[in-house]
Amino acid sequence: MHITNETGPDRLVQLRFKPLWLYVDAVREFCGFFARATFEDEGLGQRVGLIVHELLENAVRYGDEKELEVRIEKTGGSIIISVENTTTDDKAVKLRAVFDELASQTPVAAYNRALAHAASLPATESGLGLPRVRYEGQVELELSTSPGRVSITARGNP
Amino acid sequence: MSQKLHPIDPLILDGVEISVQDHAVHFDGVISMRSPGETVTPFLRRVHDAVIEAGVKALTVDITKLRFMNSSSIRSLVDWVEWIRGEPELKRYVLHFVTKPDVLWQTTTLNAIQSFGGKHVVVHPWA
Repeated sequence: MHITNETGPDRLVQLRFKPLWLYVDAVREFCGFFARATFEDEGLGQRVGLIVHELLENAVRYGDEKELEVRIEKTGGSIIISVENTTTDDKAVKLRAVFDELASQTPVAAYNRALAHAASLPATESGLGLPRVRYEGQVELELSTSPGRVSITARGNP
Repeated sequence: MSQKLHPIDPLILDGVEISVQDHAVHFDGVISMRSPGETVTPFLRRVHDAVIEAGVKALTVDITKLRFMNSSSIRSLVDWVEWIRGEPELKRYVLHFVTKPDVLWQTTTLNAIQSFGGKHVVVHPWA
């Protein structure tokens, strides 16, 4: 694991590690603590922890277990959390489809719809992660893709 | 008339314990495993079956000591609500979730579950 904590006003945290489930809880705890301590805001720390956890879980489940990077940045009045990981092109296409469906609904409508749909999915899936990030994390989500790589950016106000 | 639930051994996993006492289920710790469908969901199913067998109409679900729950585990709660809905009207019961308001995810998640679960889910912020 590579950890950088820069003192500049923009990039606050950058973690790069092999995307293994083993690390997800620890990174959630660290990022939540970091945001809570940096911004002196308990609620923001909890939101950052939740967002980081769900995006990491998504990356571990649907990545290719090679490379993952988490960044927390501050730009203007916004907090930006990015998770970028390597993946296969077919998984990237599926993720794009999920995003397109999310974008067509309000956060609360998308979350309610995901909850109603969850029980019909295979036991190993929930379909709740990204709708939850958007609704409970109070952020806008963006997906960018390049060959063999996807990046999800969550942008919100403290 | 409500009856006692038959004893259910607690579910003790890395980071979390779920136990049943009288008409209450207590969660303590963090639920963030990759496959809760293999552990948490079957445990909750045993609780559901015991509640139905006993004819209990209200069950307290205390999550005030649950520090985090991932979306995969929220699915287990969704399944629980669906099991209740799948029972005949006379056998259905109400889940009374007790939450800690300063743990933000508990409020947002449970409000969403309440919206989804309708009359089968009630949320009680712990004062």
